[in-house]
Amino acid sequence: MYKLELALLLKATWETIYIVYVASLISVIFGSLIGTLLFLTREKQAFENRWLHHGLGLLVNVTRSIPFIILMISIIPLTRLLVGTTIGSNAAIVPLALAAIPFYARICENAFAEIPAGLIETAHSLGVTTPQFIFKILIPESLPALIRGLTLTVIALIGYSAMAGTVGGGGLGELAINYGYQRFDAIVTLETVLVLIFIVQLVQFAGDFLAKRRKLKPLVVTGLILGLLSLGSQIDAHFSSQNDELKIGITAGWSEEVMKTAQKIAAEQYQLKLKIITFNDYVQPNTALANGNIDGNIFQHLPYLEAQNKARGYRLAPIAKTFVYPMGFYSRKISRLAELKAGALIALPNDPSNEGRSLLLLQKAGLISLQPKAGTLATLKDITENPQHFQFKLLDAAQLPRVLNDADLVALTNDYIGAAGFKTNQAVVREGADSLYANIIVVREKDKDNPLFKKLVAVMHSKAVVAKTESLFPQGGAIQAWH
Amino acid sequence: MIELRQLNKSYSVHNREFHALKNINLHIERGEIYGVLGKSGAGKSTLLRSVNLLERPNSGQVWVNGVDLTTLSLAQLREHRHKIGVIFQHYNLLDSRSVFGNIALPLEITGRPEPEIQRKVTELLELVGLSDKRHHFPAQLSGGQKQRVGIARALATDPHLLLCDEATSSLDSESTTAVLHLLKKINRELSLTVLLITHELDVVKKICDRVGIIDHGQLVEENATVTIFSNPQTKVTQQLIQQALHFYVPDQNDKDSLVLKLTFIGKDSDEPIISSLVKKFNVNFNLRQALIEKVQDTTVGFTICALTGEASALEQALAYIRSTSIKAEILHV
Ligand SMILES: Nc1ncnc2c1ncn2[C@@H]1O[C@H](COP(=O)(O)OP(=O)(O)OP(=O)(O)O)[C@@H](O)[C@H]1O
Ligand SMILES: [Mg+2]
Repeated sequence: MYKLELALLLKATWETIYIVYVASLISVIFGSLIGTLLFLTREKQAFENRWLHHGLGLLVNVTRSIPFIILMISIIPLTRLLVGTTIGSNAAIVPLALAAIPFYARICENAFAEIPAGLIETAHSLGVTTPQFIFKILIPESLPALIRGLTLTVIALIGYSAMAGTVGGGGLGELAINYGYQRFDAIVTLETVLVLIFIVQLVQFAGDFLAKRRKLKPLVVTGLILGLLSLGSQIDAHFSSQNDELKIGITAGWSEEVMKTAQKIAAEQYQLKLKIITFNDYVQPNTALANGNIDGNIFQHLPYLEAQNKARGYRLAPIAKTFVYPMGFYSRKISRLAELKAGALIALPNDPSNEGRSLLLLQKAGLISLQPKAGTLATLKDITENPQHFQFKLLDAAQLPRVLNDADLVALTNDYIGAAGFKTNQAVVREGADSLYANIIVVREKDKDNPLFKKLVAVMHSKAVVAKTESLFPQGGAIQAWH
Repeated sequence: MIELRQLNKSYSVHNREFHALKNINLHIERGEIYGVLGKSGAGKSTLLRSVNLLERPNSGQVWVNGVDLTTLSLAQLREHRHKIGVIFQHYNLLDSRSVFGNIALPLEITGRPEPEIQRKVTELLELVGLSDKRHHFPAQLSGGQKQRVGIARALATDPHLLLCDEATSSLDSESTTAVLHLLKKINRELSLTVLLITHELDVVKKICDRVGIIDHGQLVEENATVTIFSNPQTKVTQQLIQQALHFYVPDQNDKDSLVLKLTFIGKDSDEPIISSLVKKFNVNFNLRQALIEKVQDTTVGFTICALTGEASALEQALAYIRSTSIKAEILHV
């Protein structure tokens, strides 16, 4: 099992600090603006205006009553508009700030309302203008309450940031979900929780201290220091992938074997350090790549990547093909395609992706024609021509080996060929090197031309890696797709 | 200096009109210390707050220094407020600012340059005797000290008018005396007009030149302080003085006697009137109460005594007293 490295924890911590800092900053700026307006439009205040006050109050209440998770999802278009993506630290900041602005606005309003009426009257008897009233009376007098409120907001934001992390927002929350929850690694979960507790304690302590001091200066200084720190984390993130080290995500299983060889070649021949991060599902490797936790992944084919990019707004790009692990049609009844009789029964996998893949293969073999628009997600309904009146049966991929005695032709993916007692080269029809479904090396779009990845490609195409792969998939089980 | 004309103020609470001020007409001279006395809820604070328009009257005019404030724009009003100092019962200092900072606030608001602020605040600290507390915060001061900071703040912009709402009501008698002394001093030295509001007769007695009595929103009586004390006209004023000085009230012991309250003003108090009564008219005399009050610089003496004797003798004695400048009031026959 993958062991969490300190570096990963540190990076996630920086990310959390960055996210929370920027979200807090935005919330303080807009929150205090709205809070001040809420207060000044109250009865007897400088801008007394019932409609504005109640309208603004309603808006604040509505925003505050939307559960964060729903808010986060429902403003996805806004997030994309503002930061151009819906994953990563910057995308997490948008919903966080939006949730915290009304929260802080109310805190400000309440803090101002706590100022004794006598003091406000005194201010007016001194002939203050409204800006003087705000900056000489309202803010200084309620500063301790404002700071305590800020502490509360920041801590709430830390909690929310963990929630945002679970949907690709980066930071400690994502770390806990990716490496802790998804992989049942209790240590990782514990570590992230401990770091979160530590940060919260630190914020609380600093908040209490600053509130006692009642001074604006230490607050601003603290803010600036934190700002620099979180900026540092961004710079760090920017340069970390410039190091001669790449974190590559793969899925558990035989890939781990292949990558061991790749690691060796990379280190020996290319002075490149590869870190292999293993995932147990097909979603997380892309999420982790999109928000920078890893630098590249090798586990998917192009149609899957395109679907993920589309569904999740990732900006991930393929830089090279590796191997095709061909899907093929196998049969116990015939050995050549020419033997296939009209009206024969053909069994296909029923998941949308593999159904399309198998139909495309049949089309390529000249058995049927498909609606061109259907593409990789073609279904039985997209068959436009079936001159030999074949019959089709859709089955769960795992069930397919069992119908070999009944069906004339059965589509098998790489995983089931061995189980069904075949070798790849016994297929009646199978995909070739030109298959759309070749595995690919995927990186973030902006890293496409990074020379480090050219090295990675070279490593993956090296003789040793090829030999290792072909030894795991003998007799045509892995076809080099890059030639 | 201040002239209130036909001032009316009403509040509507739960849709019911409440008249807090009714047709107030008031004139205060430059350099005068004018006291407004009244029971709780009489409308004193409302009156005071009308003078700098913290409370806008429903009708009437507020002339301060030759300008009717009710006709001014907000910006103009702000300018005028800079020239009206206010002192509050609860000091209303900013907790976030030091003594220095609190006194500097009005100067900052009027945009004075930094060196002037330094100089002016130092001067004021001297005046109110708090030079050594310059860097203290309000939380570190006693009530009397806080009020002196309040006074310094009110004086910072060299106002020509000082409004005091119960400036001493939260202080013990020693601090009260100190604060009143200070007010008197600045009134004299800076020839400042002071409008002072209180429910304490003692305060009025010590420093006010003239007093107005307000009751249920109406100005019911107005006179020089000594006169208010020695010769109150309205029931309300009499009650106020009665309560403040704890005048003796006739009881069982006075069944068959003529109980008189004699008021002496200034030199009168020196006259040996009682001994001459006893000698001249053959009446018996029982002293019930004797008080000497110092009102500003004048002494006012009160003597309450029970006279017994022949009816005719008593009548003669009364007539005699009334022939002097001494004021006699029959409390019981
Ligand atoms: N904002 C207000 N709304 C309604 N009624 C008010 C308001 N302010 C004052 N009043 C009423 O006006 C009357 C006069 O109030 P004011 O504060 O002037 O009394 P006061 O003479 O200063 O009394 P005290 O000696 O207790 O301070 C009171 O009956 C009070 O209830
Ligand atoms: Mg009052």
